Amino acid sequence: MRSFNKSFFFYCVQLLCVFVLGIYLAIFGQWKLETNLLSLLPTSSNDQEIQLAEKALFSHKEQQLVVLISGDNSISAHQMLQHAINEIAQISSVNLPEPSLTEITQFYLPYRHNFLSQQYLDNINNKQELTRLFTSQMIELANPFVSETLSTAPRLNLAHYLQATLEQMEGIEYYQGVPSITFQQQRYLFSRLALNFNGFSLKLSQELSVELQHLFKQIENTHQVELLYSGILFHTAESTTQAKNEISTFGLLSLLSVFLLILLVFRSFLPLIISSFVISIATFYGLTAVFVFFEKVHLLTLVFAVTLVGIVIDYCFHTFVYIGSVSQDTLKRKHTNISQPLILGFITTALGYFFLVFSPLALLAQVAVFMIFGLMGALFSVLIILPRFKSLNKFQVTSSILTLSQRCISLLQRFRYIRIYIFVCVVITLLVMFFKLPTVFNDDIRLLNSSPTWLITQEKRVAETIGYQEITRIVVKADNRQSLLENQEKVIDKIRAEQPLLLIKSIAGLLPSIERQQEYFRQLNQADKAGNFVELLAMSGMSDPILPFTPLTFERFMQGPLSSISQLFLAAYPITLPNGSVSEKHALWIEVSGGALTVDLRNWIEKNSDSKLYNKADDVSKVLSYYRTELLFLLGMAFVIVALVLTLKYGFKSGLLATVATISSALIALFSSQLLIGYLNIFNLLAVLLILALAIDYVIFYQEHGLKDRTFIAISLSALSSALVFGVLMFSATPAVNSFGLTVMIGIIAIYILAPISASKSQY
Amino acid sequence: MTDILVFIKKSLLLSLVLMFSTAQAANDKSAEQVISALNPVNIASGTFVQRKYFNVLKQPIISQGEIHFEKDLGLLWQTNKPIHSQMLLKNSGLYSDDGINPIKKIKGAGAVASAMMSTMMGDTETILQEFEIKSTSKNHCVNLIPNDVQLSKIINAIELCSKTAKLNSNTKQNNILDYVILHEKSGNRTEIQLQFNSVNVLSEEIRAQLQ
Repeated sequence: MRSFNKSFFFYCVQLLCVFVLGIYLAIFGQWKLETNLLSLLPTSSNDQEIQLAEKALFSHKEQQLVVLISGDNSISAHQMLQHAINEIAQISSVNLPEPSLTEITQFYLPYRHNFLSQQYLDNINNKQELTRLFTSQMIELANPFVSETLSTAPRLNLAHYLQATLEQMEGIEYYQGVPSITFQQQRYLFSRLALNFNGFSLKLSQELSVELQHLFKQIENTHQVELLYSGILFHTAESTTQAKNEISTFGLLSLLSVFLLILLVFRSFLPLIISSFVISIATFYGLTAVFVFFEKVHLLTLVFAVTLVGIVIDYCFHTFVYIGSVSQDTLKRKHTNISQPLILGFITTALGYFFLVFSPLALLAQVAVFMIFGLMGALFSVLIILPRFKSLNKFQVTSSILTLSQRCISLLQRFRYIRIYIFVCVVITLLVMFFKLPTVFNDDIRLLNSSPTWLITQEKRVAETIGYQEITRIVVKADNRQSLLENQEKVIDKIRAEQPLLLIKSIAGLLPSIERQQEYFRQLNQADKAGNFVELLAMSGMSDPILPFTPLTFERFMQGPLSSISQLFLAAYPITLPNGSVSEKHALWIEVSGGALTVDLRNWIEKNSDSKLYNKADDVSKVLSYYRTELLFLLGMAFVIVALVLTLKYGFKSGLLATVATISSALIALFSSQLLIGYLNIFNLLAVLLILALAIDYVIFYQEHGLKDRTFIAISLSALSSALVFGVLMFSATPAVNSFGLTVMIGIIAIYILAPISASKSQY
Repeated sequence: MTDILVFIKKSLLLSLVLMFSTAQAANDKSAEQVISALNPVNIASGTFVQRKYFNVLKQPIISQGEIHFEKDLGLLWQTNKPIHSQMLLKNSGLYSDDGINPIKKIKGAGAVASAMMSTMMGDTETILQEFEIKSTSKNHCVNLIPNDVQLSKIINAIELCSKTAKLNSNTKQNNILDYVILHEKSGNRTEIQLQFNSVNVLSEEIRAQLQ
């Protein structure tokens, strides 16, 4: 009795601590709710530095929206859009300053001998061709580069260089002064808008998304134009709405069905109130732990966390049924009868999740922490608080339920007699499925995408129109700026050598490395000494003495008229060195279009430690594939642990049967899922981990208590409630969530049938 | 930035197209009315002499060549002296060919090319969108002042002057532009003198290049 009070005191103290901590963290904590799918990805990778470089280069794109307008009245529609955008505080138009040609040529003039276009370079030792090149520029219908540079750079090498380089940088046309793109003979006016807040900010995203969509519709109707738009903002808003709906709908449905079940079985509100209390405590524990361990809580974590209800209610049912079947005295004496299997069940479940805590996939780690601490809170409450409710042993399971359970038990008893055959059949069937059913894994990023079809279709149309789908981006990094420019040239030279027809957009032309400028200078100087420019200079009657080499440095370039354009391609990012000091690194990106890179070239870029192909979707799929493989290994380990624990605890024969029941239910769930959805993904495997956690609870209870009515009823209620909770997830719009729900559902049905017939003890 | 270059080239080509059009020019009509009254021709062929006057050079740079136009195909501007080069304006865009390197498509030509084609088909609305039309002190001359801000940073005006001539046997005596002057902001200017021959159909070779 004393120890009972002591544990109650301990329970109250720890509950108070958790409450204080939880409320403190909820109000004053630094946690943030996340919807960005990419934030689910592991922070460690083979090349974390490249990831940092990618983030530095492309994170601003999360803040941007693209709007395309086409139709006869596109100009007036564009004006209406610009006017409306000016009125919205959270968004603004992105307009790049376009320096004048005079500004550009004046800036490059002091360095005019450091620049040679490819055509000049190819003909630098051919006097006649150089003259021909010069003449062709001079007679061109109108060439502003020649007009601007002839007086100060009369070899016209700078005019040709700037013309060729700036032409490569151009991608957008102008229609009546508005940037435009022509796609399939249709002109689209192009607007880039920037958010003045983080694109993943949930509330603001939802509000602004609604406002903008209303505005877009208004523009379409007023001017009879087609308006396409894309941006993370809309996905964030849609995902948030989707997740919020699912959490509230699924949560409510799960709770309602479980409560109905309790009322139906016990015909009393007390178990309902107690269950709600335990579920609330468990949820509070789980959330507090997540707030403690993670700064950002992903919305998808909370969707998965609904599963806590399913397991917590198991604990409640076992306790209700057990307490209801014994006297208060017996309860005090033989408390271990219920506590032992509950603790054992908790340990195995928590162990399963424990492995996931260290997963670099943030979602897994968050779900695992939430579940472990949530279950711990539930266990404390069930073991310490529930036995104190004296009235609990007054209510009994209704007689009709008892009768039904006894009938089921007698049926299961018959199965028990032939259980060896049943298990052999199950094992053979699984083996046949394993060898005959080709396992197809799907690691596509779209599994995580809950955006509606119309938004994805619109996104695709925008990408197609602006030619984004045909573009390959390459990220280049280096320790310092000059090395960065040299690395960039190395990559571009390689592409030009292997696939000369590809179009390359980069800042390499605007700012060659000092090494390359020196090389151009050397070649021009050598050609000058050889007299290759005499004839063409004579044509203009001008002189152009070559002065000592003066490089155009990075720092000087960034003070020039093209720095704002170049900044779109460049970024610097800090990196922490092993000694703890922080060093600044540099990165840039190159855009390749006009065809796909060959496999050899792709491999060369990937193997080069300073460059990487930028494809976030592909990266995510690779990560999912990697963790799916890891998870398979983890499941293998879990199967071994389950086998060892059960065999050591219950002996070879009983342990083996319990193991076969547990593992078979997991495999049945997996194979059936593949048959139903056509493939398997990481979320099916995650579901198997949960099945193992639930299955081990069921087999332990049957092994401990035997196939008797109170165990059967408790497990039936557990299974039914879990099936109701997880079954709901099958209706989620996110493929990841519905895959999870389906597999768990099948697994529960399988273990519900296999666990009782594997029990070593019969009724007593 | 190269859009400016492309724009200049094509604006000039546009003005060349204009000069193939028949005009009921009359002194009492405004320049806009003159342009609005243009009627397209289907085929034209001729020669040109171009003189480029640079502020820093004492003598102009002279080049000469041929010009060919067919409404449904496009326009070929071919320089024969001092070197051979071609510029082709087709439905698919603007291309340059120096006879040595592969034919190069001049990027960013879509919008202007479509404006060009609209003009060829008699869509004067497009011309009026791109330029402001102003009359000059000279008889039979008009100035095209670019509306585009970037273009106006480089070009002051394109001056088009016409004379009366008969393009081919199927048409009446028309007002045909025979002189084009491109006035650059820098003070440089390009003068082009055109001479059209009577032609009913373009040669197969030229048609093939434009296709």
